[in-house]
Amino acid sequence: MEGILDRSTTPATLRLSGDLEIGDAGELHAQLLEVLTSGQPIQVALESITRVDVTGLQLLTAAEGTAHARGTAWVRSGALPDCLRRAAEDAGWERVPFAGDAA
Amino acid sequence: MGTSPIRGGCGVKEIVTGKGNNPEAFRAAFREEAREILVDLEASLLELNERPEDAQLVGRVFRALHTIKGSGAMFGFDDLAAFTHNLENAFDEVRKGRLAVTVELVDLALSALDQIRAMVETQAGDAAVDPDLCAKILERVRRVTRGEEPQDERATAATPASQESEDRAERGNNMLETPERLWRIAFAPGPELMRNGADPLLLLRELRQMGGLEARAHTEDLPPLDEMDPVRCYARWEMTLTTAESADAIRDVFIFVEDACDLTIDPAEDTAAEAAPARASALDSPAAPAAMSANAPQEKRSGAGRRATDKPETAASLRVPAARLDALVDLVGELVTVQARLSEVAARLADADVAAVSEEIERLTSALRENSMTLRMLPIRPTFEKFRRLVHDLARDLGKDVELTVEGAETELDKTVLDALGDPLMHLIRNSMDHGIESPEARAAAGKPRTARIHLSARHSGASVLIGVSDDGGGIDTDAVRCRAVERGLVTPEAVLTEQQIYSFLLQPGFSTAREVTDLSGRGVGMDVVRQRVESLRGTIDVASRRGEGTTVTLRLPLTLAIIDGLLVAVGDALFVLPLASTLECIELTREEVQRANGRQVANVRGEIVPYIRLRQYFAMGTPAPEREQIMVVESDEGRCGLVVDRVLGDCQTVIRNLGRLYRHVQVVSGATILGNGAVALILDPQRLVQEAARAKAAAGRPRPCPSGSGSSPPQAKTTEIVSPGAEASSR
Repeated sequence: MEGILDRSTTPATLRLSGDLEIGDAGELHAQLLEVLTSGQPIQVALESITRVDVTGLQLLTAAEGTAHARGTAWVRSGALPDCLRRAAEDAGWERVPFAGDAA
Repeated sequence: MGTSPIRGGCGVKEIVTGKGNNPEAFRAAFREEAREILVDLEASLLELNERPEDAQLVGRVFRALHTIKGSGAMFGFDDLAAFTHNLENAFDEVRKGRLAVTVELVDLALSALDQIRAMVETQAGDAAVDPDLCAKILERVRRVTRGEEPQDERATAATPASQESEDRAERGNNMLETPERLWRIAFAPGPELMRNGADPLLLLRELRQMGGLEARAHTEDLPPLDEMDPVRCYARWEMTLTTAESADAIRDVFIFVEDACDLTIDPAEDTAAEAAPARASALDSPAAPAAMSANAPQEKRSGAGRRATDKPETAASLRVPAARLDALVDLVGELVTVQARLSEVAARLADADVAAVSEEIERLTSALRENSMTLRMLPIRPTFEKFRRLVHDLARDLGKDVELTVEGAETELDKTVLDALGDPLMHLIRNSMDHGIESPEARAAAGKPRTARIHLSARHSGASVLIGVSDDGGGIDTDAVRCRAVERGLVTPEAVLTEQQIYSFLLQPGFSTAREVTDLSGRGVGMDVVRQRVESLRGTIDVASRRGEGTTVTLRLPLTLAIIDGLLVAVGDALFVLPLASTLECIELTREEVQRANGRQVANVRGEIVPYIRLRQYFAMGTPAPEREQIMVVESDEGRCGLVVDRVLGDCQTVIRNLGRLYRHVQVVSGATILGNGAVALILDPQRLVQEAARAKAAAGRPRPCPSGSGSSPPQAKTTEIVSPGAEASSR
């Protein structure tokens, strides 16, 4: 898993790539939290993620929900990856995280 | 402005939160679990060879494979999971009645099991996987599963004749025709489930493969991001599954996480035909599962810790590292020693309050000691069972037909003893298979059944466990052994030897490795290794044989190596401990009685003549005997025998300490103990003492079980070694 914050875009883009699985959960949590704490609007690019498990689903759902609750706009940039959609469907997730309209 | 990695860490799998999150620790736990499952699996497969129609056994094999596969995948053993998957498929076909159990299938499964075992161990550097063999096995498993592999005659011939097999076919057909049912599943992972490496998503995907799954995740408990533990599962699921599979099969999906979740599986009364509306209402109404469970039989298991194999008795057990138990037993040992000191001090102070506390502590220490010792006691069954494979393989390699029977497998003994028992038993069984048991043709010619028998037995006898390895082979040719002993200069040609003495040559180092002797005698390979190992456990070996009828080797081993109940006795200044379990009674021996016996060392115990050994003479202690002595009557393999001491000082809990390498040849002393006053007492092995005395007597040409007082003591070197520590102890 790798997270890169691209400040060249407006708003800034958090590009996540690789596996969002339990082995990466601590890292992903820390990164999401760091960006969330900055309070700035964020685009999240998920196209390059390859695998997602329940920890990944939980973290993305919580990040989206928490940002929304704090009134910070977090939107998706680019396409919703199949692996995320499939994981959410297989897990019976109520809603695919960041499934709303892309920025 | 530009791109900046927030943190490093690309691609490296690492669970970073929580100190318990060590993937290698999970893998080690998996290995340990897998080893146990593989032992059970092997035993089940070998049993299946004998009872190919046993549906329960098939189920057990399937579930073991399923668990190995599932947990292997979970902990990163992907090759293992993929390999096992094919074998699991084969046994799924068997389970469903579509494939018969054949000798071929069992052999194939055993070969596959060896590879699985290698895959489990390979990362620990213990074994190597053979990729070519794996590929061959896989190909054959696939062919067998597809029905392309020829079935062996035995199973095929047996099938039509067997009522059981008809029943099984019936069950198989029923299973094929089983209508789909609707199941309601409530799955609430505990906080540790994902931390332990499990992924609920994989479980859901596995359920999906069983039929139509409608899953709904409840994520209401998901906290804000900053309050989240990233590896804790906050979601729970309600599901409906439409499948022809049984509740057991559904539960098997959760088999490895049952400890860490709440799981409810409710069978609905309706079939799948009626399932659709029910499915909708189940998902719409959270109250529905509860209402259903009031009417339907409920399949609920919650954190019960069920294992892969059919052993519900292990449900309430804990896995504790053996080292922790050893540490506990060591501490209890220290406590026993300190308690002995306290008793001593209390007796000296003659203070009623101190005495009361001391007695209470003595009682508690005794209970604690007994409890802690039982923690290390394990049944011998797994040790016995693992030899089924050895017998199976050796019988095939040697072209012999051998059946292994087991008796007393529930007998428990100390883990340390059990661990050390594997090698000696393996040597003994190999000897029996290789040299003791004749070829089927030779057996038939001798009027014996073609199928030979090896019998493993275990039973308690006082403070010892007797482990027997018997065969119904050709027995030991005592003349040949004797000739060989003479050739090797171990005995003179004219010596009169008992059978026991002749057998004892087989335990001599070097004697056993001589090929011609093993061929002649039917015994020998590695027997000195057996002897060394058994003696290191303070055990003894007894060999009994009848020419043409078979051989029995009996190992007598102490129940425990740590603490025993003993009787403290004194001879002059020296102190000795006799194990309470082998001591029958204590009677007085006066000087008049000694004189009346006219020099013979026998006592009349309620009409029974009991020979005795005077420890004072045996250990060549120069001190004069008191007017009245005590005979401690002990039970030994040679019968009852007395050990004469000066005084009996009382019972004591005894922590056994090794005497060290210097005294390793002193067979009659099994260790030493530190008493409450700091003095050292030697712990005697009455069994060995009587045997040694009888042997010394027989060697002197006077066949009596016990030595007289006229100088038939054991070799002087031995006497010197024993006396020294006792004398030191008494002077402290």
